[in-house]
Amino acid sequence: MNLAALLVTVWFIFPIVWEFLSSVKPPIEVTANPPVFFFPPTLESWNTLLFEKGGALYLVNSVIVALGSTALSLALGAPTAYGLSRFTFRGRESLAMDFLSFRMFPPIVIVIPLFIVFQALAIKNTYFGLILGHTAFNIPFTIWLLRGFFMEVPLEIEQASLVDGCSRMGFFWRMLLPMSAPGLAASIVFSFILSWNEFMFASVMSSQETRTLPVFSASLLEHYVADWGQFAAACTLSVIPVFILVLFTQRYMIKGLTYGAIKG
Amino acid sequence: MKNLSETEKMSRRRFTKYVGGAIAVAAVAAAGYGAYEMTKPQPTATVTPTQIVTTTQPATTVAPPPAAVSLRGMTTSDPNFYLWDKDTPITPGGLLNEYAKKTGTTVALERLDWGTLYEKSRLELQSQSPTYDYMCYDAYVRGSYLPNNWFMSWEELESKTGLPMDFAGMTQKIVRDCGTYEGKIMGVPSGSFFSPYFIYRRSLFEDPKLKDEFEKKFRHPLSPPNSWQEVTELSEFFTREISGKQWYGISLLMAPDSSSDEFYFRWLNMGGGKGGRHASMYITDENYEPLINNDIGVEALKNIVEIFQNKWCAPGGTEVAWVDITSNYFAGDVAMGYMWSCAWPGVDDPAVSKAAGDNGFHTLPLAPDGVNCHSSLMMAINRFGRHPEETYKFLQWLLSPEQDKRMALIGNNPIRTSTFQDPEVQANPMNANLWKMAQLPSVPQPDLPEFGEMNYEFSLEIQNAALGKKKVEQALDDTEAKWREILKKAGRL
Amino acid sequence: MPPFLRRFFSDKLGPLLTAPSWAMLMAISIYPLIYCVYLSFNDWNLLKAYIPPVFAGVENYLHLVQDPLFLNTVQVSLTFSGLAVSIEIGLGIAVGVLFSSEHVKFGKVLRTVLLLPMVVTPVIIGLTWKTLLNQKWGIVNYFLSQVGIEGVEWYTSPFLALPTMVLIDVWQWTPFVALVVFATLLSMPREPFEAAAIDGASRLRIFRHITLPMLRGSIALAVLIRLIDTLREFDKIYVLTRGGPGRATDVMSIFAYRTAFYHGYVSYAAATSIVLFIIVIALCTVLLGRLTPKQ
Repeated sequence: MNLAALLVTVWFIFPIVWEFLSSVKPPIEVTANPPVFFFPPTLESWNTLLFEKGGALYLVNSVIVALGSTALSLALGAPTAYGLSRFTFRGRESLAMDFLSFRMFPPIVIVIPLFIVFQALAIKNTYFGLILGHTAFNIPFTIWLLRGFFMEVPLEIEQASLVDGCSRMGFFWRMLLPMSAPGLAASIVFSFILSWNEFMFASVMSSQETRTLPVFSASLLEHYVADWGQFAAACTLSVIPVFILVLFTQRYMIKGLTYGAIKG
Repeated sequence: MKNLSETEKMSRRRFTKYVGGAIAVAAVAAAGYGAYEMTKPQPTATVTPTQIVTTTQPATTVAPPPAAVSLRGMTTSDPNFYLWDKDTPITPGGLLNEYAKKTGTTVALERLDWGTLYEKSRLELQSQSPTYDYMCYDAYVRGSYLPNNWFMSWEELESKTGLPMDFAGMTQKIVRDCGTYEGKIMGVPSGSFFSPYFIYRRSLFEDPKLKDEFEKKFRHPLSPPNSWQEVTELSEFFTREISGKQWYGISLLMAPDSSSDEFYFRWLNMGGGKGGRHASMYITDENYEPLINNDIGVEALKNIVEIFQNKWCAPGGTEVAWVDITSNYFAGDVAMGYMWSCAWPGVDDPAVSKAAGDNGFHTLPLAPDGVNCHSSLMMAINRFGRHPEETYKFLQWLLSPEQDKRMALIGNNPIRTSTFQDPEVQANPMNANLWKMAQLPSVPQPDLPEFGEMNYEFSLEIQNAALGKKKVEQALDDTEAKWREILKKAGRL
Repeated sequence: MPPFLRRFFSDKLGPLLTAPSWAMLMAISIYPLIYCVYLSFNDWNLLKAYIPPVFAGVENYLHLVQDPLFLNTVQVSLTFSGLAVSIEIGLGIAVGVLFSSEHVKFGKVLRTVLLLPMVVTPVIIGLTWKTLLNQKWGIVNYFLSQVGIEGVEWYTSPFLALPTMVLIDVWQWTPFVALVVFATLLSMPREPFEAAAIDGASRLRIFRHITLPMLRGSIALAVLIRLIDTLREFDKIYVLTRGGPGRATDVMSIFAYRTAFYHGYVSYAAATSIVLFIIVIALCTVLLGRLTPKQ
């Protein structure tokens, strides 16, 4: 059993480990055939990537956009999830389904029209424009996730607090949110990751200053020449923050993922 | 309110919900459209005489120092654009920084991969956005950029600013074929990519044992190829184990969009396009009838298929693209390669290429009737940009004889005759070879906007032939049929 | 606040809370959709922008239906989704059950490893596998050659390209299914399992008659989510093969992208996208209807 688990682990983690190894190889050895397993490690690819090609800036951009869209989608999504979970009003279920259906949009549908609108509103190559777009992608998932968590909180607690004279919004702020901290954590992590990974929207809406990591990584695959060592470094760079995030929050993430599934 | 029935309440709520949503959408759309209309710049109707300023005109007096202007440009991420801000002993701090120090104008350069650049630049230009002051376009997509009147005329800016560009000193073929539209110069080369040329491992070609063996087998001496048939022979010969390492004769471009280039090199070199339309790379005649489906076309395609099916090429099947040609050659186990000249600068750099120091260069084998193909990534100035004159000044400086020479010395392909003929530049065998090819007859890539689609379809048919799904003649027939369809849809046939 | 307004806010608090999100999604998602529909009824070529758009009615849709390239695209997409989702579900259940057994320490490390493929950028995943599966210098082919299998043409062969994409998608998303299964199993009551074990039922019978029915709801949801996502797949395929070799991996998003930005037929691409959207919604509605447990 343990052996099987070990094999599964290796299967899932091997590509990432190999990319990391490739990123510290001397660049000329990355495409060697047969592959080189023992080599003097060097930070040359990292150096070129981060400083000559601006990788450090793009990393910061990705962080800014991801944090911004996470904050915004939480700010908009949490009240919505509350409204969808705790209130009974007609059309509630269909509204919830409608929100989920926004997830079904192919991103390509969105690109051209939003390009024109964002440019007219002068938010095109700005952080705000990117954050806005990413929030729109994140909100459906956030709502779905938080709604599941909110529905977990027993009705009695809410009714008791209402009896005690607390307003509904008061209950939301002072009791519901703290009680669903795991859910909030899960939703923050997923929003961050979704925005971190987004490609098509960012490739059109960002300029040099606001470019994010996925767009930058794709641009490394140039038309005529590709430096595979820098490639590997870019891959590893994209994975590290996410890896750290996952390491610290995996419990919440799993809860978040599965809450929606179990309680549906 | 409470007396309404359930269904009525529900439908009323539904109604409010959707109407509210529709109003929000309409508001956004209206705001967007209104702002778009208001911010759209009025097109300037300047018409200046299209005289090319001669080089003997003295430089005008220096204008008062300009307010700090910031320029922004968008290009591909090809190696030559990274030379613009590379810190080398010849260009300490990078050329962009040097210009900023000299004039106070900061220049930003965004380098995007090929696909994203064309997607983004078209959207930008189509919406008349002022974000980017200058852009680059590949000569083969000029048909979808130049007719749209998106770029400013270089001569117009030259006479406005009084700073001579010396167009005559540039490689005329490229300026005329790839940058001129309806008599106006809209694009200027950033590097002259005359044609792919041959690069080969000298040590292999000079090895006495291999020379002996080759001569015995093919009955003529081992040398860089003088015909495409010789290319096949060399590919066969060098796909073998040498000193315990598996070598491959050549890398064959087979990916969608790329495989057709293998065809064009051969077909044009062999004289297959004789009588064709110059601006269409001879693939059509003056009436836009496709020309590739002739005897020479069949011979060219058969040549490719033979190498591919016998596996006398590096592995990678039908996905080997430009990037793999260089990667494979740099990995050091491929004997020959041919690529647009802009891609080779790293080949003699031991840090990235295992072939460093062991390279010979040779022109592609040209038949008496044959031609090469010339291209470039052309620089153009956005008509809707905020500082066209400042942009012109910057590019005029960057592409002037002094800067062209400096960039040539750090790896760019020269754009001026004077640079090519400079002994320091000639000392680099790549540039010397490039200059040789400049003297040979060549045609530009097609100026048809439909070429992208035509090329894509053709490359898939070449793959079919190579994979044995179709006979060569059938693949060419099908391509011709598809091209006719596309050209008819475009109203050319 | 005047009393009637206060009553309004307290009465309608629920819907009001949902209003900001709703407005934002309407603006950023519905508006482009409407614009896309509008585009699809016109004829506009991005590469010939000097020709203004011309109204074309349903011509784009009529052309779509008989275009062999588009039909090929639909077929490829459905094949990709079908294969990927079914393998992910199968493998995911196996892995989830494996990790929920008492013999495996499903600690922090294992959880992180399992989560990692899902959260890495799809573009990065595509690029990583591009280097791993390179026919000439990829490490996977090296290992295979050590056991005698030479030069596998992973994504360069017209036959293997789509299975390779499926393989990568399976690598990326099996953990999702596995985690869903794992969490569901963990939250299930122990009694039925214990009772069955006491009664002497074999492991296989327990699995078939107790485990699987309990997993039904969560598997249904996983299927739904994976289906939606695989039908819209773009990033990985874009960086790996761009739809090639030939048209072997030409899924609908790639087809629309290439048609719009490389060939310039924006209206046709818009029509394609709308059809894609309709297919996704149709499939999901059907699935939701059949698989949703009654509330």
